[in-house]
Order: sequence, then structure tokens, then C-alpha cells
Amino acid sequence: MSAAVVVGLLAAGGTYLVLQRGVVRVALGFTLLGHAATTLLIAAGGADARGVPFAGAGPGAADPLPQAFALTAIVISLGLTAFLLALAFRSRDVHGSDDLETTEGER
Amino acid sequence: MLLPLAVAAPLVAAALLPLLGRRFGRDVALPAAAVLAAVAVGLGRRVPAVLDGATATWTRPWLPGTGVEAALRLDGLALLFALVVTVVGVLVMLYARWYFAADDPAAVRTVALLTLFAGAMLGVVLADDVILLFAAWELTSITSFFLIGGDGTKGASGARRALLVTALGGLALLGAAVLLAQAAGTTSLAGVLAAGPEVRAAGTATAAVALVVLAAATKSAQVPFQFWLPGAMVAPTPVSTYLHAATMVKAGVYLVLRLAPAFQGLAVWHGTLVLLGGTTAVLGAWVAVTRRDLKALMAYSTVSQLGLLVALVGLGTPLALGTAGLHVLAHALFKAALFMTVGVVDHATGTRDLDRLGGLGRALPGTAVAATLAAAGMAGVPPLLGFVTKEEALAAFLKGAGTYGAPAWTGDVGLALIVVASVGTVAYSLRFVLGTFAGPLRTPVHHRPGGGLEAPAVALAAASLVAGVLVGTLTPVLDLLGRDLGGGAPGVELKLWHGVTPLLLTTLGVLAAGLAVELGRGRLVGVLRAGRLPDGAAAFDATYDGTLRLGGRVRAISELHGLPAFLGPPLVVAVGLLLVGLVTVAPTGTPPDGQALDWVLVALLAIGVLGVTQSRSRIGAVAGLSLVGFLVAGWFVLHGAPDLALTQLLVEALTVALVVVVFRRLPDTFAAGARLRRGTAAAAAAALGLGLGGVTWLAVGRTGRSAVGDRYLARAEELTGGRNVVNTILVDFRALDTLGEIAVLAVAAAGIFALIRTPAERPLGPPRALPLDRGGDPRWRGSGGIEGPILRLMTELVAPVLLVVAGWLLWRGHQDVGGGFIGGLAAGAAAVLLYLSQGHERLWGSRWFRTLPLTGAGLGVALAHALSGPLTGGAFLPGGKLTVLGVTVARSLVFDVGVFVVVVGMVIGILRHLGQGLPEDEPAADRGGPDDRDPAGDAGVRA
Repeated sequence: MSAAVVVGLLAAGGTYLVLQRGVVRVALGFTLLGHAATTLLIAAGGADARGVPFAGAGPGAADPLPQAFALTAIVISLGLTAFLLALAFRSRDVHGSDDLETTEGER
Repeated sequence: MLLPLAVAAPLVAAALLPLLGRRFGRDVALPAAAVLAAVAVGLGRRVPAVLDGATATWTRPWLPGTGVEAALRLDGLALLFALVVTVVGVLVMLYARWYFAADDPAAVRTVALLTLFAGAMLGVVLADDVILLFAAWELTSITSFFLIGGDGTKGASGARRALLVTALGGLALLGAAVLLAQAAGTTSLAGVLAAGPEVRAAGTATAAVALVVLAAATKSAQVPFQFWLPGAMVAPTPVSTYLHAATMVKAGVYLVLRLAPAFQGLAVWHGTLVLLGGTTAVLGAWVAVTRRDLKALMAYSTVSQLGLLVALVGLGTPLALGTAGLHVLAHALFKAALFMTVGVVDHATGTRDLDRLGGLGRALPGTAVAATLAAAGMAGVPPLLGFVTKEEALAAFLKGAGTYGAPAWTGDVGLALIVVASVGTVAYSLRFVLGTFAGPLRTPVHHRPGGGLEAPAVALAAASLVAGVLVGTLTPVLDLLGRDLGGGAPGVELKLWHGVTPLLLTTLGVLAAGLAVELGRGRLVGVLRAGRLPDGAAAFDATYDGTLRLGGRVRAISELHGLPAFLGPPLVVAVGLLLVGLVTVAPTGTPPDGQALDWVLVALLAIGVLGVTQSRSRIGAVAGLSLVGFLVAGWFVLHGAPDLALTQLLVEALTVALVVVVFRRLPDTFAAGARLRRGTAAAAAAALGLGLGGVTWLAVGRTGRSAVGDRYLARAEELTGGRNVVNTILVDFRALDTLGEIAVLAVAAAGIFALIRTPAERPLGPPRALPLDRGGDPRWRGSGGIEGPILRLMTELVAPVLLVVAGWLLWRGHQDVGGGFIGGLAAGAAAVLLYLSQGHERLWGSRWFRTLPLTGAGLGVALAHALSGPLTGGAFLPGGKLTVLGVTVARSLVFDVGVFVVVVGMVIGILRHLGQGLPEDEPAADRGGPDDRDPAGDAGVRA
């Protein structure tokens, strides 16, 4: 139950932000959506077995596969955030603002 | 080993030449010529053996699952074409050395691409697998595109036409390859040829013929695709000489010659090729008669000659096929020489216009002799090689199809078309020689060519003459090709004088008619120009522009205004799917129990999410985001994922640093959204959150560990030697995924670099120091640093320790919490500290902290690890152990080092390109105001 609430909260927050104006808030939104995805992956491993998944850890070990997926996802979402922020940075440089909608018509 | 070396040597040389080019400029043409000469000598030594009927083969598995092999085979036809490619290549390289000005930046690029092209072309003619043939064929198209396009200033439209037309042919070739492989049951070219009866009997035989003919027609500029070849003449003369006279356009001829045995006897094959080739020969020759631009004249002449070759292949008798092979040689000799002499004339006088040329014979005697000899060969005048091959071509059509499978009409129709074309050939050959070198001098030579520029054409023309005089020595070649391709020896002795025969009378009649045409040219050209044919290039351009317009219209319909409008539809679909899931999923298994501590985290998380979403100040939003990030890390700890928690913590720290760095260039508060927008967004957020949460509750995590996870846990240590199962999945079990992921990171870093540094209209200048007093806040110091003795001391103490820790995390990753990602992020954190305390210049000035070299090196290390497997007889991305200096480590540690370096490179890239301060003359961001920096300022583009 707690996993479902965490995923729902993060997804809702992320959705709200990506619908705002301005690339920075969109980038923050994508970060939250990334968290929602990683926590969902971890939830898929089951919330009952919570031991550290090292070799020989026995029946209480968590599922290592979702963890591996989630680990790379976290790092990639950093790359994505950085790229979005570079867009914001550039957008401000070229258009004077990171607000996507007010700058659209100037091109 | 000769065969793979012959293909690989030019490819490797092409990669190395640009490195030499920085120092030696156009002189890199000399080593390029040397490489091709070495290949030519190596192949040339095989001539006696091949004439005795021997073949050489070389085979390695390529795609074992499909039976596709990297197979090469050297027989008579392949050797003939390979020698043409390499020998003409040597002369073209020498010509290029003197053609380009010493400081011409195009020289190195052109020479390297020509060398690459030579390798691709050798791949085409030596390939013994239809898929390999296709790959090499495409490589020639792509290389040709870059060679025609040059630096993109004037050759763009010609290059685009050439690429799209030949790419169409490439697709046809792929289709044909698949059909042939299906019919023959193998992708081996020799196998396909051996399975001729099956290929002809297959229901797809006609389709295969159509596709092969389409591929050959596009590559060898047959009607109606002939237009791309004259358009490609914007390329420099060495390129036109090599690609569009001697080699690439012959690839289509090679293809039909090579496949002739497989299709022999199919009426559609013979009939189509004879009509196609004959029509092209006539059209090309008579358009050439009307041209004034020498290069255009030569281009249409090439079209015409290619048509003759295709028609010969269509006739399909041993004599016709053998003659086609020899005429490829003859044409390469005289046409390469002719293109080179046109280049010399252009170089010397500055014009290629026949109306402005004349009387150059005295000023350029060497070139005049070469051009006259070569043109005589083209017209079929004895005693040149072109005379013999042209005469044998006429002889082949006079003899007709015989019992070799072509319909009876092909002999007569082909003969008629070829005779008409040959009259035109004689006429324009005369026109070229007389118009350029005889008569009164019109445009004087103002730029005398060097001997090196004239010599290659003289050599080629001389070869054409010698081969003609000693043509008897080529009879074994004719016999070999006739046997290999046509199923029998032609039974013809090649010689200059056969006595007075109908053949000789035909030749003399053609020469006389050509002379008459040239004399009556004035009136004739008017007639020819009046009956203008539809312009292929215009039709192509209309289709091309129409397609783009259609795309634009579709875009105009589908384009929405603003990001939320784009995100809306996917969100609606997502919510809909979630609703379907909520209604239809019947929960199985038992829901996992939560723990009491979970709920504390959930409560804090709710506060964090509210903070990020509702804060109107950027700093507030970042604070909320950090809270969320640290709580998610805590969540990972609670769920037995220490690797994830550590990764998340480090990413969080970097994200905060990154956001703060970018925020310095942005206003401090968010624009207020309209009430409507906030309401809509909140509703969408609630729907998605509830849906996703509900589905998570109903469907996720009820069945315990996955079977794969169980297997990894049970066997990871035994299989990989690593105890940290998550890390073994990353670098051993699913290393291919990880390779893809670090490639994404590298692309993101390169994307940031490109966004910030390269757009031409507004490049960002190199960083300058910020004024100390930025908005009255003395903490902003330099272009990035934050002043403070504690921070500085911290950095000096902590950064080295962090680096050591990063290395330690990397080292232990296989056994314990750590690994390349985590270590890389820790090292990145050290770089952030350095940046904060010492400013942007510290990073910018260091040659070690550069984005593209770092990410590239990391990817290189990972790829080297991946490829070390196949090279040592193992799998791609190998496992196992390595012992270095007595220390045994997992082999995948090398891969993890690559991951480490890529991650560090990405972080460095963020700091370098996003972390610079505001230039002095730029108004501070939070004061607003228009940004009116001079875009032409000192733009710094550094990786």
C-alpha cells in the first residue's frame, strides 16, 4: 500500500509540473516522474523481501533485476534533466525567457 | 589474406589520412596513391593464376544466425574491376596532388574520401555474399554523396539527387539480394550463381530481374535516371574522374555482368537490358553532341558508354559479355584521361565552354596529345583499345543472340541502336578535340599546369594506345570472361586487322557519318535542341519539393501550440489505459505488507512534492526537489537497495548543483500560471496519480521475486565472480543494456555541448569574470565560484578524498556497494566542489576536464572491452577474469571503468557548459531587460 501511495504522489506531482509553462518547471516535473518510475520498478520487486541482494543473501533478499534497471534509469534521468536545463539556458539566451509559449511566435 | 587486406588497406588509410593531413595538406595524396598501388601490385600478381582459371576466396562468419558471411572472392571479373579501381585510383590520386592548391582545405578531405571510396568499391567487386555486396554498394553511394557535396556550398542539390537516386537503387539491390538468396537457399554470391536454374524457375524471378535492373540503372545512370550524373559534375575533377567516369558508375555494369549467368535465358532479362542500354546509349550520345560545357559533354558521353555496356550484357553471348568486360577497361582508360584533360583545360584557361575555347594545342601540347588519343579511342579509331572493343561490340550484335537465350530480335535492335549512338560518339569526340585544341586561340592560357597535372592523362592515353597495339594479349581475358559469364569461349582472336569485312565497313561507315554530323553540326544542334526531352532533374526536383511540401502541410495540421498541448494527448491516453487497468485487472496473490517506517517517509514525501509544485520561487522549488530526492533515497534503503540509494544521493547532489548553476541565468521567480491552467494541470495530475497508484496497488509486487532475479541471485557469484548481484547485472549479465545507456549519457553531454557552444547564429562567448558586486551580493565571485574560506578549505581537503573514494567505489563495485555509475558520480561531486570553490575558469582552463574527449574515451574503453571478446575468440562483452601484475580482477572491471569515465564526462560537461557566469556586458538575469550582446563577439567553441 505504501508503495502505491509513493508512486501515485510522485506521478501526480510530476504531471502537474510538466503541464506548467517554462522549461525549468518542466524539467523538475520530469525529475519527479523519473522518481515515480524508479519507485514503481522497485515496487515490482515486491515489498516483502527487503534484504540486500548480494550473492548468498538467502530468501529475504530483494529482487536484483528491478534494482539494476532503476540504477541506470536514475543516472539517465540526470542526463535528461541536464539536457532540458541546457534547453532552458539556451532558450533564455536566444529568446530572453525560458517560457516556451511566449517565445514560440518569435521564431 | 590478400583479399581482406585489399579491402581493408584503403579503409584504414582513409581513417588515418586526415591525421596526416594537418601537417602535409594535399601531399597526403601521395601515401594514398602508394596504398592503392600496393593493392594493385598485390592483385596484379594474381593475374596469371586467375587467367588459368584459379579463384581465391576468404570467408569469415558475419551474421552466423542468418548464414550471412563476410566472404570475398577473386575471379576474372573481380580482378578486372579491382585492377581498374586501383590503377586508375593511383593516377587520380597523383592528379589530385597537383590539382588542388597547396592551401586548399578540400584537398585532404577529398583524398581521404576517395581512398574510402576505393575501399568500398573493392568491397563491391570482391564481395562473395549478396548482403556484403549490398553493404559495400551503399558505402559507395554515401561516399559519393560527400564527394559531390563537397563542403555543402554549391554541390548540395547535385549531391542530394545522386544520393536519393542511388539510394533507391540500393533498396532495390537489397530486395533483389533477398529474393535471390531465397531462391538459391544461400546468400553466397557463388552459391546464387551456381543455383541458376532454381533462380530462373522461382516465381520471383521476374521481380528479381526488375530489382537488379533498377539497381544497375540508378547506379550506372541509365534512362530515366541518367540526370543525376551530369548533376554530379559540380564535384572537383579528381572526383568526377574517379567516381563518375572510371569506377562507381561501373558498379551497375558490374552487377549485371556478375549476375548474368544467373539470369541467362530469361527473355525479360535480355530484352530489358538491350532496350534500356541501347536507348541510353543513343540518348546520351546525342545529348552530348549538343553540349557546350566540356564536363557536361563528358558526363553525357559516359551515360552513353554505360548504355552500350548494359546493352552488351543484355545480349548475353560469350562474345558480348567478354567484350563488355574489356570495354569497361577501355572506357576507364580513355574516359579518365578525357576528364583529366578537361580539368587541365579548365585549370589553365578558367573555362570549359566550347564557345570560348580553341587553339590550345600549341599551348598545351602534352594534354592535346593525350586528349586526342583518348578521344580517338572513344570514337573507335584504330589502333586504340577503344577501336577493338567497339568493333567487337558491333561484331557481337551482328552475330546476334545465337543459342544463348536472348530473344532473336535483340541482336538487330541492339545493333541499330548502337550504330546510331556510335555516330553521335564520333561526332562529339571530334567536336571535343577540334573545338578545344584546333583553330584560332580564343581564351589564352593564364595558369600553366604543372607536369604532375598533365602526366596522369598522358599515361592513361598511352596505356590505351599500347593496349590497342598489343590487343592480342587480351584474348585470354576475353576467353576467361566469356567462359565465366556466358558459358563458353567466344572463339575470337582479338586483333586490329581482320581484313575487309562487313564489320570494318560498318566501322568506317560510322566514322564517316560521325564526321558528316560534325560538319553539319550547326543546323543539327538546332533540331536536336528543339526536340527537347523531358528534364529528369526537373522532374526529380518537383517530386522532392512536393514531398517536402506535403510533409509541411501534415505538420501544419498536426502542430499544436505549446508544450502542454503536446503532452495532453499522451496524458489522456495514459489515464484512459490506467482506468481500463483499474477496472479489468483482477488482483492475484497477496498485497505486500508495508512497514511502519514507510508511512513516515510517505508523509514527508507529500510535503516535499507539495513544495516543488507550489513554490513560486526557484530556490523553494529546488529545496522541495532535494527533499523528495533524499526521501526517495531513503525509500531505496528501506527496500534493500543500497546501490540505488547511494546513486540517488549523488544524483540529487548533482541535480541541485546543476539547477542552481542554471538558475543564475534565469529569473528568480516563476511566471504565474493562469488559474485555468493550474486547475487543468491539477485535475490531470490527480487523475494520473490516482490511476497509477491504484494500478500499482492492484497489479505490482504481489508475486514475489522474479525467476530471473532468483537465478541471478543463485548463480551470479559462480558465473561472474561478483557478489554484488545488481552490479553483475549491469556489467556482466545485461552489459549490452548498460553500453546503450552510457551511449545515451554521452549523447546527452554532446547535446548540451552542441546547444550551448555551436549554434552559429548566437554562439556563447568564452566565459568572462562576473563583476564582483552582482546585485549587491558579494558571495558571487568570479564566473562561478562562491567565496568562503570554509568552502575553500573543505574543497582542498575533501576533493582529493572524494576522488580516492570514487576510485574505491569503482574498484569494489563487483563485490560490494559501488560500481562505475556510483564511482563516476562521486568523482563528479568532487568536480562540483572544485567548481564551486575555484570558479568556472578552473574547469574551463584545464585540458583534462573536457566533455567530448572524456565521454568519448569512456565509450571507447567500454567498446574496447566489448570487442576484446570477439577478437580473442569469445563473446561480445566478455566475462571472466584478468590477472594483471599478480592481481586478479573481473574482466568486466574494464567495462565499469568506461562507465565511470562517461559519467564523469557528463558531469564535467554540465559544469563546463552550463556553469559559466554571465558576461560583463550582459544585464543580470533577475533585473530583466533585453539581451543585446553582440553575437559576433569572440565566440569560443571548445569541447
